[in-house]
Amino acid sequence: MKQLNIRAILSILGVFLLIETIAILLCGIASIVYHENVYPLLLTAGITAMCGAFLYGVFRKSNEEIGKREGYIVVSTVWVFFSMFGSLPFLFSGVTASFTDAFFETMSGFTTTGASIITDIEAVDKGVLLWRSTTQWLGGIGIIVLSLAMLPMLGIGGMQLYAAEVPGPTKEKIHPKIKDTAQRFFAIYLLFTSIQTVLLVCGGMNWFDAINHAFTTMSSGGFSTYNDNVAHTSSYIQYVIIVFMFISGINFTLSYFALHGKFSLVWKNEEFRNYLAILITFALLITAVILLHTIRTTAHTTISFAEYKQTFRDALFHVVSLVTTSGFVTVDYLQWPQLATVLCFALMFFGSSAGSTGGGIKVVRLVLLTKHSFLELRRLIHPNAIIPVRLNKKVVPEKTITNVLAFIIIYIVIYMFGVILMSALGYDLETSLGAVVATLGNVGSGIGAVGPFNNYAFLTTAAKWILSFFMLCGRLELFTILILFSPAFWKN
Amino acid sequence: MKIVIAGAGEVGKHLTKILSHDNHEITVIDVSPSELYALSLHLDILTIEGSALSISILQKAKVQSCDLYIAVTHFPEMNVASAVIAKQLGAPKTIARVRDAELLEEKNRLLFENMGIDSIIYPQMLAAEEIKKIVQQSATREFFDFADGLLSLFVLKIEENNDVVGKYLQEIAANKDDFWNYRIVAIKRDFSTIIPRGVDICKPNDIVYIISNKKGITPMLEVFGKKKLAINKVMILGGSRTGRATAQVLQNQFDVKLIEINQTKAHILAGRLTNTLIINGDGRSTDLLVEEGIRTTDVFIATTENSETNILSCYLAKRIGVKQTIAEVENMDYVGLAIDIGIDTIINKKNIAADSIYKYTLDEQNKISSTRSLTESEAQILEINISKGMKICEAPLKEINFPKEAVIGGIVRNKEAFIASGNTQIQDGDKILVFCMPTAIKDVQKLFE
Repeated sequence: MKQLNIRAILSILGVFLLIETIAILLCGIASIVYHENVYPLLLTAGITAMCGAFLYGVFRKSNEEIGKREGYIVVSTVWVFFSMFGSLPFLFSGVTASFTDAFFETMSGFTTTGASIITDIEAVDKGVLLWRSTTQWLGGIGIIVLSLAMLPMLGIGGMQLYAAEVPGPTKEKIHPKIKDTAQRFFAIYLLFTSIQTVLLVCGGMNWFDAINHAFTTMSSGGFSTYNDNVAHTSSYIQYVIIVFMFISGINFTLSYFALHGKFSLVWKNEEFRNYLAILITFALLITAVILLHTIRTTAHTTISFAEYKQTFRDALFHVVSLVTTSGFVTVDYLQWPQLATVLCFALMFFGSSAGSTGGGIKVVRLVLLTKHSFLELRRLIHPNAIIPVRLNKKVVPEKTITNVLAFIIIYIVIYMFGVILMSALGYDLETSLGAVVATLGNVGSGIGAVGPFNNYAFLTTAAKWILSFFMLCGRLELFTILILFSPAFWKN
Repeated sequence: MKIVIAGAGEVGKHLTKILSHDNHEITVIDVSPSELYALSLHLDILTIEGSALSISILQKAKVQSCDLYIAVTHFPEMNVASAVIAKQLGAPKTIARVRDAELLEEKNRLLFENMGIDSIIYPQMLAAEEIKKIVQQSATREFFDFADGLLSLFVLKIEENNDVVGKYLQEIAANKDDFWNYRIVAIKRDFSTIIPRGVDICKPNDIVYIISNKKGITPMLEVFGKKKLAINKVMILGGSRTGRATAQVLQNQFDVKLIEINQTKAHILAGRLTNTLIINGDGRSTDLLVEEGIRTTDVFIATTENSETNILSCYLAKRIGVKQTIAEVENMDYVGLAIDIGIDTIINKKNIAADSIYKYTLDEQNKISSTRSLTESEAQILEINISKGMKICEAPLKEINFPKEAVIGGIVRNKEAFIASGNTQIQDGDKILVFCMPTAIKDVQKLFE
C-alpha cells in the first residue's frame, strides 16, 4: 500500500471548513434580523474560515488522487471537525457551560440524532437556534454529498467518499456523474424542505419556527425550537410533520423517481413496501394496545371518536418518528401501557430506508436478514439446492448478504458494549438501554431517564463523549468508523 | 456528451477510461457484475448490469437521450442487433463492432445506415491497415497522416552510430531550407516523454517524434540516417484475426508467409488467403523460421493471441537479422519492455479501435477534428481547426504563454503545410497540429476557446 496522503486529507478538510463558514454566516443573518448578539456566530465564522483557509492554503499543492483509505479518513474526520467548530456558537453565547456539552449538542445535530443538553431552549438566541437546526439539515443530506454537489474539485476520489457516506448496503447512482447525482439529491432535499416550511406556516407557525422544524424534519433530526418539542402544536402541524418524516425516511432515489412520475417503480420497491407496512402495522398495534388498556383500567366501556383519533395520531406520530429516527415527540410514550412502550423501544432499532436521511439498522437490511433466515430453513431441507436471496426480483450477491449479516451482528455487539459501558458509569438499566439506542440509532429520544421529555444534560462528561462517539458510529454506519480502528488499515 | 457503452471487454474498458477522463457522462452496460464493479470503483460512471439486447436495460441506460451509443460486446451479432434497437429507441448515433471484413466494405455502408448503424468498426482490420502503412513507410516505427496527408508524424529511433547523436536539436534543424519543413516535437527517453527545446541534445536510444510536411520527408529521413527499406518478403506469425486481416491487405503487394500452429486453422486460412503461403508449424522454433527463410525476410509481424509470444518471437527475429519487426501487444504494461528489447513497432488493437471511436465524441466542440494517441507514449496529438476569436490568434506564438508540456507541431494554411516558429501568427482558418501531454490538455484547450 502506498503512503497515506495526509496533505490531501488536510486540504480537503480545509475546504469543508470553508463551506461550514458559509452556513454559519447565513445563520448570522437571523441574529441581525432579530437584533441579537451576532458576536458568537461571527467569531465562530472567523475562526473556522481562518483554520479552513490555512489548511487549504498550506496543503493544497497535492495533485495525487485520494484513494480508499484517505476517503475513509476524510469522511470520518470531517464530522468531528464540523462538530468541533460548529460547537463554538453554543460556547460563545453561553448556552452551554462546557466544551463537552457544546460538542455533544453539535455532534447530535450533525448526526441528526436530536439528543439535546439545552434545558431552556426558548431562552436561546434565535441565531444560535437556527444554527442548531442547520447542523441537522446539513448532516441529514450528508456533508459529503452536499459538498459533492457544490464542489466538482473532489474528482475521482469522490466515489469512495460517496460510498462511505451514503447509508445502506448498496449505493445507487441516478446519473453517470456523482456530481450530478448529488446535485439532484440536494435539489430534492431543498424542494421538500421548502414545501414543508410553507405548509407549516399555513398551519399557523411563524416563519422562524417553520424553517427550523422543516430543517429538522427533512433531516430526520428532531431538534425543536420549543421546550416541549412539538407536543403543544395543532393536529394539522403534527400530520404535516408525520408526512415529511415519512418522506425523509424514503430512499432519495425513489423520491427522485416519484417526482418524475414513475410511481410504479416506487410501489414495486420491496424496501418501500416493507417500510410502509412496518409503519402501518405498528401504528395500529400500538393504538390497539393503548385503547384496550384504557378499556380495561377505566370504568368506561365506550370510547369517543375523538379519543380514537387522538390515540391513533399519537401512535402514528411516534411510530413514524422512531422508525425514521427523527425523535420528535408529542406525548410521553413512557406513560403508555408497558407493551406499547416496549414496542416503541423495539422500533428504535429499525431505522428507515437505505439512502435516506435516517439512521438505525435500515429496513432493507432487516428484509434481507429475514429472507435469508427463512431461506436457510429451506436450504436445510434441500441441502443441494441453490436458493438465492432475491430483492426486487433480483438475486442479491452473496457478498452483500454477508455484509448485511456482519453489520447487524456488529450493531448488536456494539449496542451491548455501549449498555455495559453506561452501566459501568452508574446509570440504571433502562437509562443505559435507552441512551445507547437513541444515540447509536440517531433517534435522540430514548427510554428511562433519557425519555421523550427528558434531557441529556445530567449525564457525566465521560458519558457524553461516549454517546457522541456512538452517534458518529451510527451515522456513518459502523464500518467507516470501525475500519479506522483495525490494524490492517494503518499497515503500510 | 452522454455516451452509452455496451460491453465492458478490453475495448469497452479502454474507451470508458479515456472518455470518462474527458468529462463525458458514461453509462456502461455489461452482463458481468464483477467487471462493472471493477470499473465503477475507479471511474465516475454509471454501470448497469444486464444484456445489451434487453430493451428495458437500454431504456434504463437512457439510450433515448444519449448522444452516442457504442456496442462493443464480445458478440458481433449482439452488437449489430443492439445498435439497431438503440437507434430505434432514439440514440442519434450508433457504432457497432463486428468481426467480419466483408461488412466493412463501402458498398455495404448504406445497408447498415438504413438499418440504423452509423458506423461499423472492426479493430483487427484497423490494426491491419495500420501495419500496412508502417510496412510501406518502413523506416519508421509509427507513422500517422494528418490534414489529408499534408502533415505526417514520424516516430524514429536514434541508433548509437547515428550522426545526430550528441547534437543539439537546433543544430539538427540548422539547415535553413528544412527549418520550415520538419521539427522534433517530442522525445521519449527512459519511459518518459519530454517536449524538447532547442538546447536539448539527442541521445542514443531516444525515440523521436517528428512532424514533417511532404517536402521534408526525404531530407529528414536522411538527416536521421534512416533509409527506406526495400520491402519484399513479409512473414506473419499467428493466424489470429489481426494476422489474417494483415495478410489480406499485404498479400497482393508483398511476398507474404503466414505461420499458424493449429492445423485446422491453417487449412481454413489456406482456403481464404489465396495469395499467401500458409505454413503449419510452431513459430517459436528457430529451425522452422530459418527453414522458411527468416534470414531473407524484411518484415516480421507477430500477431498471435499471446502478447508474450509476440514480443519474444519478434526479439528472436531481430536477433536473426530481420530489419523490421512488428508485434501486436495487448497488455499495455509490456509496451515499454518491448521497446527496450528493440522491437520496432508495437501495435495495440484497443488503442486503435478506441481512437477510431474517439473521433465521434469530438463533434460537439467541432474545433478539434481528430486526435491520435500513441502506442509508445501517453502523449496525444490534436488536430485543431482555428476559428475567429480564439485566444491563440491574439499574438505571435512567442508572446503566448503556451503550456510547457505541449508544442505546436505544424500549421496548414491555404493547403500549404509548414512548421510553426516563435514569430508565427496563427490565423483564422488555419489547421494546426498540437502535440500534447495529457496533463496539459486542459490548458491547451483554454487557448482554443
